[in-house]
Amino acid sequence: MVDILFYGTVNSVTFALIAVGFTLVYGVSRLPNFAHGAIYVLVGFMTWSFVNDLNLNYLLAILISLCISSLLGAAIYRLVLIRLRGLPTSEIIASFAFGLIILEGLRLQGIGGFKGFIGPFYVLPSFIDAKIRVAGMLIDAQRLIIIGGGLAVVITLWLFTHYTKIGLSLRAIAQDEQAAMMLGVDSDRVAMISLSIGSALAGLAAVIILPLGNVTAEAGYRVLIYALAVCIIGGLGSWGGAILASFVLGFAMIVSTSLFGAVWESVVLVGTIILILIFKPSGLLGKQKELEERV
Amino acid sequence: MDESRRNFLKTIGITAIGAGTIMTGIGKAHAQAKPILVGCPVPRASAYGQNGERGLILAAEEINAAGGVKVGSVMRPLKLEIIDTRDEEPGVPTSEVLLAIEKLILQKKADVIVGGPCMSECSIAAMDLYARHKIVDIVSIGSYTPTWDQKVAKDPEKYKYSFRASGSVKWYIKEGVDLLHGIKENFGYNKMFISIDDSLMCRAASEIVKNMAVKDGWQITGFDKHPIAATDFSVALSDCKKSGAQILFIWAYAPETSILLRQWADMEVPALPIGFIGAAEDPGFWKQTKGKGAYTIVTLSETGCTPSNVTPLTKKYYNAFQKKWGVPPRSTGCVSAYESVYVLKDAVERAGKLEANALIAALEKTDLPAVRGTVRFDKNHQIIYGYNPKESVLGNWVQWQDGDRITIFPKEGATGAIKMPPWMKKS
Amino acid sequence: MTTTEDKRQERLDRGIKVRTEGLYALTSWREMGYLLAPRAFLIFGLLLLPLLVDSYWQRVLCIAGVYALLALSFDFLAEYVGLVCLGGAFFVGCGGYTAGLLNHYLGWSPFFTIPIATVIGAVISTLILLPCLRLRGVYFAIVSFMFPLLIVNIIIALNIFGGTEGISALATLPNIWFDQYLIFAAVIIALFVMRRLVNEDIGLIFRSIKDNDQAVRASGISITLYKTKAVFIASLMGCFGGAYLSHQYGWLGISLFAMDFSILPIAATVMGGAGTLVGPVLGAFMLTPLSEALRGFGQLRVVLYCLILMGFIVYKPEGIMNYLQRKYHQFEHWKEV
Repeated sequence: MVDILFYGTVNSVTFALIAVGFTLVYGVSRLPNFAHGAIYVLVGFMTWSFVNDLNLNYLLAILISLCISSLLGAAIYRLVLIRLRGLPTSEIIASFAFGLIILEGLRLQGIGGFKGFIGPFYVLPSFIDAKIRVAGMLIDAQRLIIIGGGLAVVITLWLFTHYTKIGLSLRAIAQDEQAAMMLGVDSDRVAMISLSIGSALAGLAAVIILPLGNVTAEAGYRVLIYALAVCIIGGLGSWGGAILASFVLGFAMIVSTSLFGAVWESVVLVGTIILILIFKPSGLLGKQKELEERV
Repeated sequence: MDESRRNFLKTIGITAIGAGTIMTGIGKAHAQAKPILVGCPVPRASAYGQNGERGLILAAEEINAAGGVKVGSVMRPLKLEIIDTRDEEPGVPTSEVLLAIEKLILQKKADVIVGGPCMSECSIAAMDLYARHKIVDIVSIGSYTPTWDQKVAKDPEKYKYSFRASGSVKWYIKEGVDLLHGIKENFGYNKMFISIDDSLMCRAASEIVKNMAVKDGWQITGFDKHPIAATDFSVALSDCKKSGAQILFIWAYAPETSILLRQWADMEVPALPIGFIGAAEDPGFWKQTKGKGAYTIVTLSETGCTPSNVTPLTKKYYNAFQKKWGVPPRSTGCVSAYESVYVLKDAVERAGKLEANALIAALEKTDLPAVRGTVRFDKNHQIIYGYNPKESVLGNWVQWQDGDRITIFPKEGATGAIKMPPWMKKS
Repeated sequence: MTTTEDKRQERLDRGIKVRTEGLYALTSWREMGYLLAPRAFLIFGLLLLPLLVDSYWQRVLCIAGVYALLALSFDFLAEYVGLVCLGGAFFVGCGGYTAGLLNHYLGWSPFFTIPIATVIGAVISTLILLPCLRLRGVYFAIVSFMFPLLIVNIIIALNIFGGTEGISALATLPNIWFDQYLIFAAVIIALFVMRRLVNEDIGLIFRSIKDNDQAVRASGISITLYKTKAVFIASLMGCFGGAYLSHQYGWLGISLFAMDFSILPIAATVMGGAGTLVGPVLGAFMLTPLSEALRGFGQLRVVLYCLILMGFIVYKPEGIMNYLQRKYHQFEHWKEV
């Protein structure tokens, strides 16, 4: 029981970390960033590469990769999505294609001596390699870091969007784009900032979560699906909803795993999405624009 | 591991990538006779495929350096036509894999097919293709499913074109159970926890292991199935710990299994991990788990992946592979792919021609001393595994000890004994 | 020197186009030729193509035909009904499994299983998608993207229909020529039927659902009913492709739900020209062989076709066919402003 609670929480926070970047971008600029999973994986590989090929300090490596990922997010907007705003289909296709280029590019072989990131060799080190014994079970520090990191990200984001100028303009655009533009908020600039923050958040999630496992390109697809799942269930663009949905999903998956076996995990995931969409199309906490966008 | 260090930074940000050429054939230009064209479907993006490809290339180079294959009275060189089948990659339909094989047959006009595809699903579907085009093929990378030889048995006339030089899971299970039996005798263990990847194959196979082990006097204390991409095994491991198991039997091919073993070491689970663990086969496993994978016992399926002395050729092969590719042979596929090129050479020389029926007759009579032992096929065209290197080919169970893979079973190839992790030593 | 700002491009319909729109098309051979030439070019081009290539490329063309059907179905749903369906693989899987299972368990010949699976598969996929038809835009796209994954997981979890290994040794079609012309005939028929359909009354309703579904509702028309019809029509094409595919190689398995079946048709549509129906077909016949020719390059080909896709969507969103149609029907010239 204690382990269900603990691992459920870890799992939920993992979901929240993965989804928060995606939901931020969508919530602010209505841009579904289907390259989210790819950025997540890319940051993992970049950090690995900086540490192992360039022998950089781990923290420095993380910092550089996060910077690159946020630049990449801005680049996605500037180069691609800016021309497609308001065309949801094209936005999805283009950002997904961008993600595929990254993911498959990482696995390219035989070009310029680059052999592709294939196989189970890429492991990021844990921040602290320690274990604590609580109530009869061993808990490794990395899982506590995930929980702590998740909390920190959510709090920072909240503070950022409520107390900084950029953050406020993000919320302004999210609430009413027309009015915000009249008050001098540059919609394009805000969208670009939101994408670059969103991408950095994807990267942050990667460096916090990945030390638990290894980095593989295939994970990119899964991360994207998780992010989508959380956002749909919570209500696209609703931040509170996303966090609630992370917990619903996180626990649903852990509970179903221990009750029916892990094979049902993904069935539960997709099943929940479909049920939610049928019975409450706007998601758990999604409120606005139900009529316009969904039904 | 060093081979996987690559200059990644160079490629960051390069969106327009110049076309790189890859080596698709290794035929020697100097040979006058028309080369024998060997089609090699290989999933290049998978570790099994890559290593199989290395085995194939090594064998073909050796044979060509020695003058080639004697067909009738002409010495003909081998030319490998390697094609990427992309199986074992996510999102790739089987039709795509079959199309690649058809390309070898129809467009490249391959004389025979040797190699993949690795995924059982694809290689079974491919058998119909070989039957339709009446072309001989030797499956030699992956594809362990028992369905394969059952399919041949069902219609031996139709599927006579297909041979399998890689193993069958049936034999590996027997090996595993025999190994467990030995452990029971030596260490007095009798409790086992089973953890598997949730795929059809792992489920079916572990079920058989379970039944055989129970018959052998083992007590099964728990059974865990995790989905293929799971990265958190803590629930299962703590169950295992609580259950008092002494053996953690694993059957999993997902790369994420290495995480399971790291978590196993982190949680100091007092059960020795044994099994079919794709991730732990790799020479890079030690470094990847930072030594936490120590004591893991895993099958490499093929003698020759470690320097043992099963046959005179075993060590020779190991050293040649190491020299050519700079890494030791990984596991499944390296040796059988290498051998099957020699099996082909042997059969062609005995048949004296490349015509399919003559070649099939010759292959059926194969009795070739090779790296793993002696290559023979049974009536279902499945290579015969066993414990006697004079009559069959041998498997290879290793334990990770101090960064190396030490063969511990079968005893003909053993170069060391099983060791126990410190937290399992009886005080 | 004038910069582009001082000029604008003016487009005028060619006289012949205007004339051929009415009954005048019958007035002269020239007018009829103008109308028939592109159609004849397409039909005869497709029919002659298999004669010009070797048997391996014929296989590639067969697969291209399947992708063409999928692209057509994607284009129809996205551009005429407003349902962006990222789950083309779902249709392929439903059709493929239905046909394969009928053949495997009941022993029916492919001549029966293919048509039956086309219909039954379409019914099944429509029923499964039914609860999601209320959704629009991004939401429908995301859900449809997940359906193939869900089905694959269920098949694995329950271990039904051959589980992960699938079922092999199904009956195959008589020979490559039959394979080839069956799929080409299907593509041509589907193409012309769809072109006719979207201009009928029902097509009008479909398009108005895309443009303003509330208005359609206000006219007393059930949008769910029409969306269901549209999905059924689209899945007929996908299911035929799947049924055909499972009999072409005599095999079925979970990779019938593979993502390639969802992605490549979309790329083909974007490249060929969304909304033209014929464009996606052409796109599929260009992209599939291209991707096959790049096989030696491993992952590079996915990267390349994503680059093509992105290039088109960003810089040439109208696609090839819209461009060609414009050139065929209209004069263009620059005009001083």
